[in-house]
Formats: sequence, structure tokens, C-alpha cells
Amino acid sequence: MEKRAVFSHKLLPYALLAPQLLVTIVFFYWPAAQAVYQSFLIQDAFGISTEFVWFENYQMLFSEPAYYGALLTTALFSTAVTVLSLSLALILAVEADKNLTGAGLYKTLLIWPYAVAPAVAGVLWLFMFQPSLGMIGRSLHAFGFNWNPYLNSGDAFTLITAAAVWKQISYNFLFFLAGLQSIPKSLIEAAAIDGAGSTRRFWTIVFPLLSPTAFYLLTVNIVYVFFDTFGIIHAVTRGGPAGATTTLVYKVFSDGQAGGDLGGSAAQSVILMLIVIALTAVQFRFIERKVTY
Amino acid sequence: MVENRPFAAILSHVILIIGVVIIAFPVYVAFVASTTDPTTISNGQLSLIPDHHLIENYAKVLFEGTERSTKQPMIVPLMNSFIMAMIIACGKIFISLLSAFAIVYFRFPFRNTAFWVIFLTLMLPVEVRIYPTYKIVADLHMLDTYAGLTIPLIASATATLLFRQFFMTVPDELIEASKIDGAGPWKFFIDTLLPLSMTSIAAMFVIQFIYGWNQYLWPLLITTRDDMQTIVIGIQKMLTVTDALTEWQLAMATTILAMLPPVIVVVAMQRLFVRGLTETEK
Amino acid sequence: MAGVLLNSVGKTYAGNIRAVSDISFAVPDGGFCVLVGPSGCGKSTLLRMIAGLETITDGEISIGGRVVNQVEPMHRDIAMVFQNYALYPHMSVYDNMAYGLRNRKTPEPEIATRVAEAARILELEPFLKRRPKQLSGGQRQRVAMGRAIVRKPQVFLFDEPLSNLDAKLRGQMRVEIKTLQRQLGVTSVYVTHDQLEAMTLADMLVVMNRGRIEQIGEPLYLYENPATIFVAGFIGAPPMNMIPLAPATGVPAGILGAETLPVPPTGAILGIRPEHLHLDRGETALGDRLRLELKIDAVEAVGAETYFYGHLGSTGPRLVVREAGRGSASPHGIRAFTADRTQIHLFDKVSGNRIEL
Repeated sequence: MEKRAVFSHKLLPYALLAPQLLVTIVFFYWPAAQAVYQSFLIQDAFGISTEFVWFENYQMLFSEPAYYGALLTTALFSTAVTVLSLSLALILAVEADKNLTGAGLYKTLLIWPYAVAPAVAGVLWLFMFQPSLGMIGRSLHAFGFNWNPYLNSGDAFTLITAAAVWKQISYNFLFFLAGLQSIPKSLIEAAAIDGAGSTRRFWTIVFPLLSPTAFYLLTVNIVYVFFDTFGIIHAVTRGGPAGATTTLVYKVFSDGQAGGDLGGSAAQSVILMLIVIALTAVQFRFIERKVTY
Repeated sequence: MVENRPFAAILSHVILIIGVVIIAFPVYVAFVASTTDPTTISNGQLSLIPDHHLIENYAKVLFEGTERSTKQPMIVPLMNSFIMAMIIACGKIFISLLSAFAIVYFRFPFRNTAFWVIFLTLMLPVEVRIYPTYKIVADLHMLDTYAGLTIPLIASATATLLFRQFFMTVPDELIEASKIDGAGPWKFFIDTLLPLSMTSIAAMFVIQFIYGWNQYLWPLLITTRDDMQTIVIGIQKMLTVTDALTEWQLAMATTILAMLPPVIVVVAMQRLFVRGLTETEK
Repeated sequence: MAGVLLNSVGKTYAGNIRAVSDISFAVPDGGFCVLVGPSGCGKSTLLRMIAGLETITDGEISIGGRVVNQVEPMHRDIAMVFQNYALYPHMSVYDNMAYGLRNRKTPEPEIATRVAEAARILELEPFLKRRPKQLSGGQRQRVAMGRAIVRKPQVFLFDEPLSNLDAKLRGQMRVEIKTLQRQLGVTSVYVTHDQLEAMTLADMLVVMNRGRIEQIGEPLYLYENPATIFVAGFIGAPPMNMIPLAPATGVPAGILGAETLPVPPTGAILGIRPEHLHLDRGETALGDRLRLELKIDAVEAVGAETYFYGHLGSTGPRLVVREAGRGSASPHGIRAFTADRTQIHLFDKVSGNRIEL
């Protein structure tokens, strides 16, 4: 897509682009390049000399059991959050798409958690599930469950998953609803005349037409779990207990906080970057329309 | 609806109501907690009916702060969050409008390059470049400043793409009519393009305000002074004292305060928000 | 006021795509010139070159004696009416008309006078405060005209301004545009693909095809003396009947009296307008007339006139006859028609050029 009519001006376009390009280069590309560069360096304990070591930092990283732990946690966490939030959102969207009285109100009541910060979502769920005073945490004890997210890895993982799913449902719901509403009603009616019952209509007509939306959401949700859930983890579990909720991003952060290994932390950042690039490339298929030159 | 079965409609209502309740329940519990006194909570006697300490708790949190943890009045971080969200939202909109205008309405060498440079920032969220970016901000002496909090987050491929997409739909004849009417690029931008973009701008504002308000990792890193803290970080700091000592009624009041502004924005501007979200990211 | 002069004007797009070539003509001061041709013939490009919205790659364009090749649109002292009107959707009707004047620093009282004047002429007074969205198609069209009028430019440019209107409104606006142009006496260049609009509006008609001029002249002159097969087929509705004549095979079956036509060795096309064929009632001698026999497929009586559709000599080319009044013929029957020799046209089959008779 190109404009037929444009302005001709030699310098103005550059001046217009300057602010954005300046910020982009100083705060995006330069640090990203720094991360790549540092991932090839090892600094001695006193920070006096640095040595160029090629992939040694990466080798060290992949020989570290804790890194595999974070990788596994991230994979499990992504799968759990994505599957749960997508399926719950789809159920709600399908119901909300029906011409019910009060459909608009349901929509409003379901989308607002989008505005809640992940860390806040984490704190809300922590408060409910706090083992000694939380409303649900105590009830679980009363029913004989030995629930304690501070000490039990599984419990901690469940808690952050619940908070992350709760926060993400609204986003997925919105997209599913938009996707459902863009399916022409005549198609559904035609299928009904062709004798398909409502379940059959859903799986043979609605679901296939919704699959691009679902696929887009899949990649967006994975990116969400990778990055945005940092706030939940930091506010609720601090990556614990015993690293059970340390994701890749949380590990970059905590290793960096602990100080010392700049090269190792940079190598972790670079791997994350590669993961985002891969995810974006997959997603690119769907943005293509916007960027075809 | 193709079928007309009363039972099916009732079932749909039931499912949706369960959904709404699950979504609302954690916030309701937090609200009830924020109206109660510390003993009720620490004894685990929190009920589902609001208590009468609402004004007391909120006033305390806003103007005095907690007794045992941060001891900071939360009005300051609340303001900081607001300022940060406003700068990020307005800044992003401003620089993205300019760059989208340049890319759509001018032909110049390196136009494609510029577009891709901006577009590829989608692949570099702050989390993957966190320490090097921190170092640059430190070197520029921008730690504990609003500039440091906001500028590194201000470049946005999303907003630029949205505006570019919108500009593409503005008919060519309008720029031609403007040219004949004697308007140069700047006049066309101000007189015609901006007024036409108002809905897109508002939609973008909602999304970016929420994005700015909900930032976590970045403010956590680059603010050290209490008076530069944001509200979301403030909550987290309240929880860091030994768990039993956490003043939950105050923490929950802060949580409600931290949620309120962005939730109000979303609910009040729902139509714009939905449009902005589904159009930019799709 | 000023004339418009085009001297060997051409436009080549990147990639060596030629949009228009070697266009020369002069529109006299106060003249109404219509550029007409099928879509893609380059007429809009040419108009946009006059407006300054497209660069000129060859030749020169002058407005009022001044070469404007390098002049920005705003300094060419022209006004343009666009096909989709290009009204500023966020401005009132008043502001739409005032915008160009304000950009030229015209004093507000002067603007108010001019807008009021234009609104009066165009009967837009009740709508000045409305937004374009609140107007009908015809009203928007008038606002677009108003925006052009208030500027008092040297030249009006019209880019298919009526093609978004329904047929009835189009006819009405056509008359209004013509009246208005006469009244204001502003030199106008008007682009359309509709030959009826072209014929009725133009003092001077420029027929274009594939980026080149086919013929220039007064509408009726072009109707009577089309210089090429293209012009002959484009001007007039229903279009001229075309009958191929080949010297080798002789005259096709069904025509009498065509043997004497000067058909070149490579062949010719005989052109007869539907309105120039008449039912042969046997009252005139053949002498200076051609006689054509058609096998009738269909007859359409629309009251004031009757259309006959049929094939020449039952298997030859399909012809149309437009007969004034009412005539009758049964489908599948054979009917004879005659045409006056002074009203027929002959074209070279290869070059397409007119052969004078």
C-alpha cells in the first residue's frame, strides 16, 4: 500500500522521525547490542580485566542445572497459563456472543482485569490463598489440605498460574468475542438449515473460522507469560520456593541483582531475545498485512 | 440465535455469571479487607461483608503510610504512577504520530530502513535488554528521575503501526485538496490529519496509559528513592516485612487504589479501548 | 482569467511506464474543455498534471501565459473539484469553503462575503453550519463546487465530479455546472468518461485513448467528422455500427450500393450511426443511398423512438437502428434500411484513420 499523493520535502521527514529514532537507538538497539557484546566477555572477579571468550558464557549457562530448571518452569508455566486462559476465555466469549439480555454488561464486567497490573493481580490472589489468614487458604486447611505456597513448590506454581490466568482471560475474551462477531450470522444460519446442531455448528463452522484469532492469541499469550508475569512472580513468590517459580526472565533479573556475572546475565538476555524473535516471526504471518511494502 | 430454547439461554447466563463472579471475587475480597481492622484479618475472620474502617484505612494509607513497613504516604507514589503513565502515553502518541506521518506522507531515502528500525523494536521488550539499558540510564544520570522512568519506554512500534495504518485509510484526495487550498505538510498535519485521527489517538491513549501505569520491572530497577516510587511497587514493598506483620488492610487499600485509575479508564472508554486493542495488535 | 496551454506534454512513471505522451492543445480564456476517454486513457493524470499534483516529465504547461511546470499547486491559482469531493470531514460547510482563503491570509470579512455569495449561488445557505456527513450526495457536490468558486481562481479543474451521483441528479448538476461556468466565465478543464456529459458540457472536446489525443474539436464536429475509428465508436450512443469491408471478398451480403466505396487494399470499416439508418419504405430511389437488409433479433419501442437489433444479411455483423417515432417489424423477419451516403463514414482498417469520401 502506498500513498499516491505525498509531500516533497528534503529535511522535514528526517526531523519528524528524529525523536522516535533517537529513543529507539539509544534505549533499544544500543543496549541490545551491548547485551550481545557482553555475552561474549568474561570479567575477572575485581572487574579489572575482561576477556573475549566467544561462547563460553553460553556453555556455562547450559551446564547449569538451575538454568534448565528455569527453562522447564517457563515451559510449564506458559503451557498452563495459555491453555487455561484461552479455553476459559473461549467459553465465556461463546456465551457472550449469543444474543442474551445484558450481553453488554457481561462484556464490561469481564474485560476490566486487563487494566490490573500483573503484580497487583498477584497480590490479590496471594491474599486469598495466604495459608494462615487468607480466606481460601484457611478453608483449604480446614478441609485438610496442607496448602502452603511459601513452602510447597506445587502450591506456589498453582498460585501464580491462577493469578496469571485470571489477569489474561479478559484480553483473550475480547479477541475471541471480536473474532466471533466477525463471523457472518448468515453462515451460522445456513449451517442450521443444513441440519447442524449447535455443538456441531461450533466445531465445524465457528471454531475453524476462529482459528486465526486463536493462533494469534497463542503467540501473544506466550509472550505475556514470558515477560509480563514477572510482576506476579516478584510480588508473590520471589521465584521460590527453592526456585520453583523462577522463569527465564526472573532468572535474568535475580542473577543480575545478585551481581557479578555480567557475561552470564547478558547471555541469558540474548537467548531471551532469540526466543522473542522466533515468536514474533511466527506471529509475523498475521501482521504481514500491516507491513507489506 | 438460530434456536430458541429458554433452557440454553439460562445456561449461558449461569456460565457468564460464574465467570463474572470468579473475575470479581479477588477484588471484592481485597475491598472487604480494606474496610476492616488488622485483628480481624490476622485472626482469619474476614467475612464477605464490608466493615466500617474504610475511610480510616484509605486516609491512613494515602496520607500516613504503613506503620511497620514503608511508612510512606501513598499519595506520592499514586501521583508518580499518574505522571509516569501520562508521560508515557502522551510521549508515545506524540513521537509515533510524527514518525508515522513522515513514513506515510513523504518519500525519502532510507524510508524503508526507518520503518524497519521502528518495527523491529517489537522484538526487544525491556526485559531482554534490562541491565544494559539500566547502565545507559545510569550513565545519563537519569536514575530516580521521571525522564529515566519514561523515556526508555516511550518508543513504540505499536503506536506507530496503528497511526500508519490509519493514515493509509485517509483518502488521497484530502491531501490533494489541501495542497490546492494552499496548505503545506505542517498545516495539513495540524488542520486535517490530527482532527481526523482523534479516535485513534484516544484509543491509543487508553492502551498506553494502562501500559505505563502497570509498569513493574523498570521502575523497580531504576527507582531507589521512596519519593520516586510508583504505586504498584509500593504495594510490593508493603509485603516485604515478615509476613505475619504485613498490614493487610492497608496493603489491600493500596491495591484498590492502584487498580482504580486504569480500571476506570478502561470502563469509561470501553469502546475506544476495545477498538484500539483489537486494531493495533491484529 | 487565463487560458491553459499544453505543449508536447508527457508523463513517464518510474519503470518507464508512459501514462500520457505528446499532448498539445490550448484552452482559450473562459473556454470549457472536456477531456474524455475510457478509464486508463490518461485523462485524469493529465488533469492532475495541470493541477500540479503530478510532476510533468516532458513538455510545458502554461496557465495565463506563465509556465507552471515547477509551480506548487497552491501557487497555480487553480481550484479543483474531486470525484469523491474530498471535503474535510471534520469541518463545517462554511469552514470547508473558507479553508483555502484562510490559508491565503484573506481577511475574515472578505471570506464571509465570498462564502455567502457562493452559498447563495449554489443554494447552500441553510447548510453552512453542517458537516459534510450530514449532507446528501448532491449537496456535497455543491459544497465541493463552492470551495472552488470562493477562491475566484483562474482555472477550474473537474475530475469526474458527477460520477458518484445517481443518473437523475447527474443530469441536473450537469446543467448547473454549465450555467455556472458561463456565468462566471472561468476557464475550465473537465475530465469524464461519460460521452454524454462530454458532449453537453464542452466547447472543446479532447478525446483521449491510451495516453494520446485521438481528436480535438467542438463536440458536434467530432460527432459528424470522427477522425478515427476510436472516436467514431466512443462518441454517440448507442455507438456507431461498424461493418468490415474487405476488397478481396467484396461487399458483404446484405448491402447494396457499397461497391463504389474507395476501400484500400488492406480493408476498411464502414461506419453508420444508428440514427442515420431508416426503415426502407420504398419511397426514395437508391441513387445516393445505401440499402442494408437486417435479420431482426429484437425490437424495442420506447415511445419517442424505436430500436431495431439485427444481423446484416442474417449472418453478418450485429447492427442497431434508431428510428424516430414508431416502426414495426416482427422478430426473425428480414427488414431493409437505407442510409444517406453523406452520413456514412469510412475508416482505414489498419491505421483506423478516416477516409474522406
